[in-house]
Amino acid sequence: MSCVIGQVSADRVIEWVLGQPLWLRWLGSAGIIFLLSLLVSVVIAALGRESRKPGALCLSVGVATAVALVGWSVATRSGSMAVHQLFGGALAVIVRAVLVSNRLEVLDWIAPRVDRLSYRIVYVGLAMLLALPFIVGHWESKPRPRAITRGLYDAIEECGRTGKPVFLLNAWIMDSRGENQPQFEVIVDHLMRQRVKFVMLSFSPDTTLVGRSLCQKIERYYKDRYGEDYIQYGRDWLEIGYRPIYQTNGWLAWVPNMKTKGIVGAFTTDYMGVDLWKYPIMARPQAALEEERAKEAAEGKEAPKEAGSPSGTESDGGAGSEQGTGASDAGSTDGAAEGGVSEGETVDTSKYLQLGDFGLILEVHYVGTVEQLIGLIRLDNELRGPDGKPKIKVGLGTVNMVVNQMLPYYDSGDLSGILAGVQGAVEYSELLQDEYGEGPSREGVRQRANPYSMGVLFVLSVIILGNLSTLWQKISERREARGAD
Amino acid sequence: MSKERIIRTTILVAGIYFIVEFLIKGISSGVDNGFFKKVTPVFTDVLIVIGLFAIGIGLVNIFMLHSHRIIRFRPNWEHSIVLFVGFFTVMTFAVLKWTGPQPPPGQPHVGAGNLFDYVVTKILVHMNSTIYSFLAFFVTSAALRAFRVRGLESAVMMVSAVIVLSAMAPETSFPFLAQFREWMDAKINTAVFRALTFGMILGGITVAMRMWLGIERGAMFEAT
Amino acid sequence: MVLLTAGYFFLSITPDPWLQRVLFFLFGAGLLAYLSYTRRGRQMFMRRIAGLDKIDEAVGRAVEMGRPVFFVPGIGWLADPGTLTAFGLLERAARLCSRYDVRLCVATASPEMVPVMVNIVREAYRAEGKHESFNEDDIRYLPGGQFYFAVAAMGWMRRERIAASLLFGSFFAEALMLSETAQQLGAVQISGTEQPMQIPFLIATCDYVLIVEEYLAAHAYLMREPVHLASIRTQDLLKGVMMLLMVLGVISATLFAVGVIDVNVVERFLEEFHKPLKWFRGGS
Repeated sequence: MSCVIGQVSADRVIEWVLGQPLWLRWLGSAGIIFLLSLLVSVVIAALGRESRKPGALCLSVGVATAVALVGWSVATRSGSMAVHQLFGGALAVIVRAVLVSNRLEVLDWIAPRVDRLSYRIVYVGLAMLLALPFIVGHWESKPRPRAITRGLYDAIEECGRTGKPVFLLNAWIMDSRGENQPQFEVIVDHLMRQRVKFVMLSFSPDTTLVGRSLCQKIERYYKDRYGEDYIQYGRDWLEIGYRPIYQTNGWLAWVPNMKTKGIVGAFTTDYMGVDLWKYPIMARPQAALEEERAKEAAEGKEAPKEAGSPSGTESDGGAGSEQGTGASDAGSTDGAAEGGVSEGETVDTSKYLQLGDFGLILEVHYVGTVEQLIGLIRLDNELRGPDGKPKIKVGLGTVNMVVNQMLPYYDSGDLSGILAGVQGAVEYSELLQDEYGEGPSREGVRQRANPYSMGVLFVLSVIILGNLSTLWQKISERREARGAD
Repeated sequence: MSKERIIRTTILVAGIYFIVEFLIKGISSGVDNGFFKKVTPVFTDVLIVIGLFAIGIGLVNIFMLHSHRIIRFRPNWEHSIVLFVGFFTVMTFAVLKWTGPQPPPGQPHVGAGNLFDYVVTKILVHMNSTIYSFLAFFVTSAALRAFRVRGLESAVMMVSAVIVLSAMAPETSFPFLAQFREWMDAKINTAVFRALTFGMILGGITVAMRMWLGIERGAMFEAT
Repeated sequence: MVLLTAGYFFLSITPDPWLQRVLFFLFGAGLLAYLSYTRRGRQMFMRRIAGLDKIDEAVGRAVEMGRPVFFVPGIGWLADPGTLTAFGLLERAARLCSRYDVRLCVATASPEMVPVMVNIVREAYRAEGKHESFNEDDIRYLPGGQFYFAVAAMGWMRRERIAASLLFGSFFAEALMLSETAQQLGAVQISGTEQPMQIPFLIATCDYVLIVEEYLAAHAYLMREPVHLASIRTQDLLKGVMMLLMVLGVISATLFAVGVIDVNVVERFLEEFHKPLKWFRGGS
């Protein structure tokens, strides 16, 4: 009975602690570690050692921090408190150093050692911290989604509303898997959850298989949850497969092909070797057809006004016609034949999905070729809507270090949104969860989010520690110079 | 006509084509007489094929270099043997996959045919990720050594670095920090990278223009 | 491919197709005009770029320590502007190394670069009269892509215990790996790249860094060829035009926003100016 009461009380205490504000948890951690370190110092003194020496002081605080860290992690089954113990430990060192009589000696002892800290110790410390979430258990982290993440989310939602498909470029590599894979998962999760049609194309041989298996896994999840008919390959999504490219931005060489022959003509078959035109997803979406009619009508209205000008009216008038997008009178048969259609069959590729019919081109890439893609879209008359603005949005999921270079394009409106590394994936996952609840991508993202936080905090600590030690050494030198004078 | 002149003329003609297509007419498939619609796919196919030749060059280079090293027992010749063993092993697995019994569409290969996928997904993938993870360690050691305040500019940089890092981790992401970080990204970062991008683009255009006009001078253009 | 790639980049930074064409032709005209100016022997001022001046010192340090110089021309492709600039710097480094009898180790991740680099280094050695010192085995293609290349290069650096590291070209994530390894070996490092995202990492680890435009101007700085000087000056001209447009645009947009003027002058100018040229623009 007493054990049960004790357990219930402990659970309540833990719940109360975890509900406190961040600064209070840090202070509390520092307080507990301070008291524990005093206890350890007493033990050291009892063993006949000098407990006020800097080394003994650091040892006592270090032991206390480790005990608190393990204790809280086990008690809460979460590593989130572990972070606070580390900061608390740092605070406790400072407090103990201030209270110890020869407090400057402690800092004089620590500062040069931080400067001379071996890389091996730093690497081991980082490795341990990154492994911590896997040992103590993962915890929920709730980041505030940034505008760039929300922009991409809204772009996909709009594709769902308008019925326009998404062109998903699976161009990441296994090297960048840590950042790109969670992005890919959350994006596909969103697309399948909302049944936004998407066509996937892979340009990286090693991630073709991985991307495919992730899509199939998420598809299976939703089929089990909502029924076999909820989402279907060929109707709701399609994978064209792997196509070779010459260099990082080499896939853009396929874009003119996609423009002239359409998706069906440019790629001909999916990854299983089935002709693309046989799939329902290749039908042109209604929204795209209506836009084209609107553009024709707008150009038809303007044509009489410009009849007297020396401009190329006929060429303007021809651009919007239904047959002008992917086929001309004599060329359609040739284009269809070149589109790899089965023997004896001729397919008019202009009747199927065109590049301009997509609502969003979304690239998951370790670098990002959106700069060139944006240029292509801006240039192309047929990829602009009746108002002259590009009618295809562009989105990007990329590694964190590339995001800064892409921000100008987001600022100018060329990019609808950017997923920035693991953090972007976590934010996107938050948006999905808030809107639609738990999904299949949540666990994978969470597993990467916590080590990521640990790594970032470690780098932050290392920077602060390094600068504090440099500062203290400068103060010591000035003190010694004054003392010598 | 000398070889050099032929090369320069080819570059000039190819450049004129792309300028006319992108700058004068736009991507004008289906417009006018469909000239670009017919020619553009040919050009893009040629670009793709040229790129694939690079794979062949790489293989030839590797074979020549490492076979010479083995034959003449140059330093580290044992590593060259390891390279050949690994190369031919994976090639064998690939051949087994594509010449063996093919499973139904969309199903994985089984037995010997699955060895190649096993090597890729179970070994290569994780090796790649491991190497990429070195960056985390190198960033940390660089941060410890190099990110020190030495003056006003470095102090400003340090403060902004601390704010951004704090905002990146949810555990330390106070609302005002996150807002400040977004502001820095949207206003300061964007402006700086826009300026750098201008410079980069103009530099790229410069080199392209020089090559296109055939007036480039430099090591590669004089040595060949 | 260079023109295509550069053209795509160029066309994405300005919002209007016709304006892009005007700027493009302005660029070409400016280049040819400055070229005729510089070919007449006129001098053009270029400010000092510390990193480029220190290449000699880096090689000198390698001579003192008796250890090799390591050169990486980036992992870009043969047609990249960064790679082409790196070749010019490779030639300079090769000349210095051959002059002072220091080994030059060159690593590349692209196979098609190997014959070009072999040629460049061989010719540099020949020009210095040290043809017999040239060792083709010191120019290696390290296959496997970005990170395998980086790991192989790091291993090679450590085995050779290099004294100087010259990293010039298009770098991505492997820049930090290479530069940190050289830093841990105590090597003098000079780097330059046209990739802005790698600049912070290189600054943290290298002694001298050429940032984007400084790097792309390296050719002009070192060789002082008329064509290179002319193109640098043309770049500056175009930057001036863009800055002027930006400043005027900001002023106009601000005045329009606060209601001082009824119309956004710059925006209207850009919209209306091209209309008489409809026959030229070829689009809507």
